[in-house]
Parts: sequence; C-alpha cells; structure tokens
Amino acid sequence: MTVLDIRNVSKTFGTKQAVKELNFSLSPGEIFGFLGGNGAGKTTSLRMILDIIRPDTGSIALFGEPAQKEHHANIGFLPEERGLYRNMTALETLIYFGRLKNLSQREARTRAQDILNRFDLTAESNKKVSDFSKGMAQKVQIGTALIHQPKLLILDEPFSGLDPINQTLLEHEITNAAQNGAAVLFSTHIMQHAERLSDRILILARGETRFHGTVQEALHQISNTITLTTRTDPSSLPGITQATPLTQEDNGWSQWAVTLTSGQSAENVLLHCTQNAIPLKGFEQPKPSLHDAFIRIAGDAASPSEQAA
Amino acid sequence: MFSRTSLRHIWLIALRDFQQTLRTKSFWLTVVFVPLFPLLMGSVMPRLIHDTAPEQTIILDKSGTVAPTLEQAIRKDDPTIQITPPPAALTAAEPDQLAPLLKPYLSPEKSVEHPFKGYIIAIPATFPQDPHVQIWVSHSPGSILTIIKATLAHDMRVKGMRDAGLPPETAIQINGAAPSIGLHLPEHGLSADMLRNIGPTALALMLLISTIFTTQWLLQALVEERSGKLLEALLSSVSVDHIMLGKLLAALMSLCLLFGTWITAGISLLTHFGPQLGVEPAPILASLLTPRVLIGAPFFFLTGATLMAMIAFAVGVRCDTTREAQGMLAPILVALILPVETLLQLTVAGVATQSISQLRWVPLWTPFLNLSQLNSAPLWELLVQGGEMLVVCAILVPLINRLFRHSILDYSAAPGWKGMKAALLHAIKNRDA
Repeated sequence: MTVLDIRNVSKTFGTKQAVKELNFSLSPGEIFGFLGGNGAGKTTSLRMILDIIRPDTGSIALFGEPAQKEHHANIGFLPEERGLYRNMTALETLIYFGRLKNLSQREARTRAQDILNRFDLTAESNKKVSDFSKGMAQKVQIGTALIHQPKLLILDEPFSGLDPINQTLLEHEITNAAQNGAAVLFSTHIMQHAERLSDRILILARGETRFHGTVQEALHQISNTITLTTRTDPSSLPGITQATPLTQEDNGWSQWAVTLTSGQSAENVLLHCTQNAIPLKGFEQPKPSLHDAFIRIAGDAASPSEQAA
Repeated sequence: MFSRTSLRHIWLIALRDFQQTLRTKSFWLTVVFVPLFPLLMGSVMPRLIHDTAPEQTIILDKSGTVAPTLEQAIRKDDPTIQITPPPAALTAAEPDQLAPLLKPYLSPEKSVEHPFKGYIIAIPATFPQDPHVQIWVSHSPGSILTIIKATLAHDMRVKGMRDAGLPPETAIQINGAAPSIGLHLPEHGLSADMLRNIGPTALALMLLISTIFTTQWLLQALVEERSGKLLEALLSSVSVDHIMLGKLLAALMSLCLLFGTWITAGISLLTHFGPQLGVEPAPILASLLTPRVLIGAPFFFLTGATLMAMIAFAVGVRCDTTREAQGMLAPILVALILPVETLLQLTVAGVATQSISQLRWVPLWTPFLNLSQLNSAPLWELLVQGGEMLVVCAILVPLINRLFRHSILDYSAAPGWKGMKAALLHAIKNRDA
C-alpha cells in the first residue's frame, strides 16, 4: 500500500501557476527528497497534501484512500516557518500537539517525556519555551512532529535554521522513522542532506517536475562530462557532442571539457583513444554531486531566486 | 455536523486558549477589579468627599430686629449649623467696609489662617425699608439661602401688612396661608421604568465591558499564533473551522467566567450594601428574573459575543503584532462603547427611549441595547431584532471563516484597512482557498 499517492495535481494563484501536473507516490519506509529553489512550488505542494490549501485539479490519496482530515492523525509535519507557544512549557507543548494528533493525555505525556529524554531536554521539561535557547526550541519543534510516531512524516525545509547538532539529530530521527516504517517526505534546497538521506528525489522548477528518480539516476544525468588532456582536438572522436578547451596549449598539450552523447560511456572514449593511439596525458571523470545535478536539471528553468538557492 | 475527533480538536484548542488566558495577570485583575471598583468607590469616596468641619453662620444684623427669627429658622432647617457671634471688628464696620474685612475669611489663600466654612449675612440698619441684604458664602450655597430669603420675606410682609393697619395676627395668618400638598413618591424611590431596566442594564454594561476584554484576549491569542508562525503546524492537525470554533469557545468560556463572577459579586454587593445605601435589592433582583430576561439575556449575550469575536478574528488574522491589531480594533471599540455607554445611562434614567429604540436596530449595538431594554421594549421588536442578529451571524460567521482561511497563512498581505478590504472582497468572490 502506498502511503501517499499524488496524481496530476495542479494549483494556480491568480495568474501564477504554482504547481503543474505533479505526480509521485511514497511507500512505507521510503525517504523522499522534494527539491527545488525558493518559489519552485514545494511548500504549496506540501500544503496541498496537508489539505491546508486545495488543489485546482488532480487527486491526493493518503494510506490508500482519498485524502481526508482524519488521516492527519498519522501525519507528522514540521513547517518551514516554525514557532512555539512562548508561555507553555516544553512538556505541555509536546502533550498539546500529541493530543491534537489523537493521543490520550497519558499516552501523550509518556511519549513527550520519551522525546525530551531522547533530545536531552528532561531537565528543561517544565521550563517555559520563552526561556529556551534557539537550539532547544528547535528540538521541541522537531518533537511536535514526531510525538505521535506518524506513518507519514512531512518536513518542509527541515534543516534550514538548524544548528549543526540539531541537523545531525534530525537526520538521525528521519532515518530512524524510516527504519520504523514511516514514509518521509522532506523538501529542501540544501542538496547535501537530500543526497545523503533520499531514496528518491523529485526536482521542481517553476512548479513543474524536472526530474523524478533516485539520486544515482539524477547524478547519471550529468555523468557524461569528462576532462581530457591531449594534443588533438577531441571533437572528432565518436560519441562526443561538444569539446571545450579549458587551458592554453602547453608544449602542444591542452585540457578539454568533453560532453558525451547520451548512452556513451567514458570507458568507451578511453578505449577508442587507446586503440587509435591518440596521445593522452590526462583523463578524468569528475565525480558529480547532487548540487551539480540540481543546477543542471533545474537551473535552466529556475527563476533567479531558485538559481541562487 | 462535527465528528467526535473534530469536537475533540475544538475542545483542545479552546482549553489551551482558555488556560492561557487564565495564566495572564490581566485576566485576574479584570475579574477582581471590576466588582472591587464600585465597592471601593461606594465605601471610600463618601469619606474622601465628606468634609467633617461644621458650617458656621455669622449674622450681622444692623437693624437689630431679624437676627433671632433668622437664627431660629436656620437651626430648624439644619441643626448642625453653628451660629457664631460676629467678631467686634465686623460688628463695628459700616456695610460698605465689610468686603475688605471679610477677605481673610473668604479668600482661598487666607482661609488657611482663618479656616471658615459657612455664611456671613449682613442686614442693613433700616431693614425692611432698605431690603438690600448681603450674603457672603465660602463654598457652593445650599438650601440655607432659600430659608434666609423666605424668613426675611415673611418678616418684611408681616411688617408691611401691620404698617398698613392689619392686626398682627391677621397679617401673620395671611402671610402663612399655603395649600396642603400631598406628595406620593414611588414605593422604592425609583420610577417604574428605572426599576424595570436597572437590572438588565447592569447586565448589558457587564456584557459590554467583558466583551471588550475577551476581544482583546482573543486578539492576543490570534496574533501570538500568527506572529509565532504556529498556524501551519496547527493546520496540519486541525482545520481552519476547528481553530475558529475553538477560539470562539475559549472566548465564551472567559466571558462566562468574567460575567458569572461579576454577577455573583454584583448580587452579593447589592444584597449586603444595597439597604445601607437606600437601594432595595428585591425589585432589582426581580427585574433579572423575568421570562424576557431569562430567555433574552443568554441569546443576546451569545450573539453579542459572537459578533465581537468575528470582528477580532477579522482583525487578528491579518495582523502580525498586537499593536497593529489594537490599532485596527480601537476605532471599532470606540464606535461600540461611546453610544452604548451613553444610551445605557439614558436607559437607567428613563429618557431618550426614542433614540434607543432606533439604535437598537444597528447590529453592532443591538445585543447590548436590547439586553438593557429586555423588560421594557415591545416584544415584537425584540423578536425581530433577535432574528436580525441571527441573520447577521449567519452571514458574518461564514464570511469571516472564509477571510480567516484566505488570510491565515498569507504573510505578504497588505496591512491595515486597505488590505482588509481587499481580503474581504477576495473572500466574498472565492469560496475555497
């Protein structure tokens, strides 16, 4: 059974199309990275999943059924814009959010104490949130999304604003939740986290899906670039679409950035050079990052703010 | 209409907001201070304004004929007044020399050295042929002036009639002739209108004050959640309707607690201190137990609170700071308070019924003014105005709900009334967010 199934979902605000024909699904235990720059449509998509705003077209199914408010008891959500009730204690806050997720008072209290213990906040459990440091408040915020042990965990830009300690804590909690069978959907524009955590990713740009697949598949999209140091112009080699000189000639040797045609592998190019006695002083296949893949995939369609991200 | 889970969510939101309100000092100060204020005013103010120094009267009778009669009349009217023998300097002075001599007695600077409170009466030597009597007073004059005038007039007339040849007995008899008037006052010293309206008007006043406070608390709770970026997290668990209804319920709970405390305190004060102040509690309490009040008061209480809560929702959901929200709410509160406050006073006084009757049709004022008029307004008007309030609430609640839904996560909206107008128009045109 899929935890979340989104089919052809679109949303327009006035004349601006925020999300266009969005399609993806999530299975239990899967970690799904929802990537895009600022204004790409990530938050709008997450709000539609949570029924905070409604899609113009398309359908959203949760736990195998059309999405209903009742399903929200099984969803944990950490919004991008985060806050807490300043006059409530950490324990009261966690119990309140637990109770809103249909936990009994006793169960909410037990789980809240467990979370505070896990997050090293037991000594501060009865302190008002207003007396907390930013890092401590961040832990409580993360706790509010986890207290009811949700089957679907939705995190909107979860790492933004977190200190390194809490980033590690959150990564651990995400992995832990997935290992316990929860599907995790998180949006981010910080690619390192997505690369490290995601089983699958979806790249959005201007509301449109630019890529949907595994991180490896995304990386493969840019793995067709190699760097050659040779005495001849490599443009004429088979399976090469473009060759751009990177350095000036040095005793006849020049460095070239070479783009391979789709389906062509770097190994074939090397084999061809060896078999045809083409002199080579250097041959590099740079290891691509998801950041590079994101820039390549979303960059051409992204707004300035998205590119900056 | 609502599932069990929905009702649970509404209750949890209401309970949290209510508990937060109970934790504020301002709530408890409001609960205690409002009943305490009239009690303090009632017990302390008379002592503060009561001057224990007795009044004095100095009579400078140059004629030597009227002083005894005047003394007798003044003492009869007010036995506490002291008749002080005139100082020698004053007795020896001519009438036109008196004013500078009296300065030490009457000017504010000198009165510290010669504390004097009362009247100095100068009667000319040729009285009643010369009728120019002069009176100097140290403060606002009381009924003694009437007594002085009546006594001297009586003396003048009797002497005049005697000089005209009438026997003294006949002159006195003619001058003393007066009709016998039987004056019948209301049983409790108050008019029937006042008796009917005083209890319900007190309820209306309490509702007015309590709704102002609860509106402020509701506004603070809304602004806290909006500025604290809590709404999105809440909306992942509950719906906009749950948040609105929960907050409305919390406001009603605070209102009921305030209202209940004040009514209990009011009745206790009335029964304990009323008789001492000459106010009979029974008819006032009876005015609160009529069928009209028992049915009408909860209805107008609910509709009035709902109306004010909707105004708070409309303002609070669009403001990022309490100051901004209060700035927008202030003109609405002034528009509510000033006319209602004035009209409630007129209701108690039993006047201006025409203007109240007309203004009762304005929905902003209907609950408060109708509450004060429950025992005296025509029944058909109360029923029609009750229907009007239901219609207003039926239009306002879904509209504000839509505005709330549209504005709740819109942090880029234009502030102030311009933004409010645009959001309202948007909410009217668009059913869904």
